[in-house]
Amino acid sequence: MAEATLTAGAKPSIWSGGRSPFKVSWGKLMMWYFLVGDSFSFASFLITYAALRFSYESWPMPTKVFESVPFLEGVKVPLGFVSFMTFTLIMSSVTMVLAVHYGTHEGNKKKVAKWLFFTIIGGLTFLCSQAWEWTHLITEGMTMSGNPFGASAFGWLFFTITGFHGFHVFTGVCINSIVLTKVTNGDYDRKGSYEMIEKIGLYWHFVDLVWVFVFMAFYLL
Amino acid sequence: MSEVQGVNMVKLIWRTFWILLVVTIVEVTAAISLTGHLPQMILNTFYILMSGAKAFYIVSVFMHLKFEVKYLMITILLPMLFLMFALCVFLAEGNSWHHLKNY
Repeated sequence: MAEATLTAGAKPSIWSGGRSPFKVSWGKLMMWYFLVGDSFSFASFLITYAALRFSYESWPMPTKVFESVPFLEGVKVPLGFVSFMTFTLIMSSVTMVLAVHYGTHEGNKKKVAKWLFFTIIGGLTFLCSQAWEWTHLITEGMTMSGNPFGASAFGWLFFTITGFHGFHVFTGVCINSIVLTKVTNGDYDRKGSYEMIEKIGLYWHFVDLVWVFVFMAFYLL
Repeated sequence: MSEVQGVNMVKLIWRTFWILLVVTIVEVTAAISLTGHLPQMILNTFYILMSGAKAFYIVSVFMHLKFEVKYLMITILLPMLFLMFALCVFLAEGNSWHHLKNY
């Protein structure tokens, strides 16, 4: 089937072997397919959320539950803090794309390091914000088995899904930090390719992408 | 990748950022001001469409899928589209459970 028997003028099929049919490296392709698989995991959680949430008579109103802001006691800004978190994550995605761009187009070690550093800062800011949000909700009485806002499922769904996402942000920050060390050491200059930045960039954008849907599910619907 | 594409890429990246920011602001403003004034189903459809649009921009520009080989795009987009479809189906399923519950 995959016989690359060439007659005069016949082009070998891209599936004949010897090169990537999709013109990407194995590492990048496998990262893509890992992300597709991970999407299924997140999707299963979000689908559970969607099905359960609409089966209840009443559900906590996001604009009422999520209105606190750190450092401002008593000030109510509905959905304010989570908007800040969304902005932070999107911003860190932009800095990540720039890091990838300067790596693959210019091989510019300094710029890659700078933008990757900003990405890590963005990720850490998001994690700290999420930690604050969790602490705040727990002190208000929200647990895995009940909450003062309404249906008890709200609690465990919120903590499980944002926790699973937060874990991904955490591993992303760890991997980014390791790669940043390697960048400043000049490992990728020696290797001749900044493709590793592309691959972790894909992971980071995936984390941002999932947040778009988690944000939509919990805070908007 | 050509340098010409490189020069436009940075602009495209920032333009995509502004699009994402504006869409998010519109979504949040709608959520705060329109909940209770418009039927929830219309608002939900709007949120799902807007989030889908954001997802499209992130995947195609930030993750660069727009510039990859077409078949790679298809092998990734089809499962994702299926998942979004499943999300909508189970939204409706949840609704039907709700109606079934009320004796």
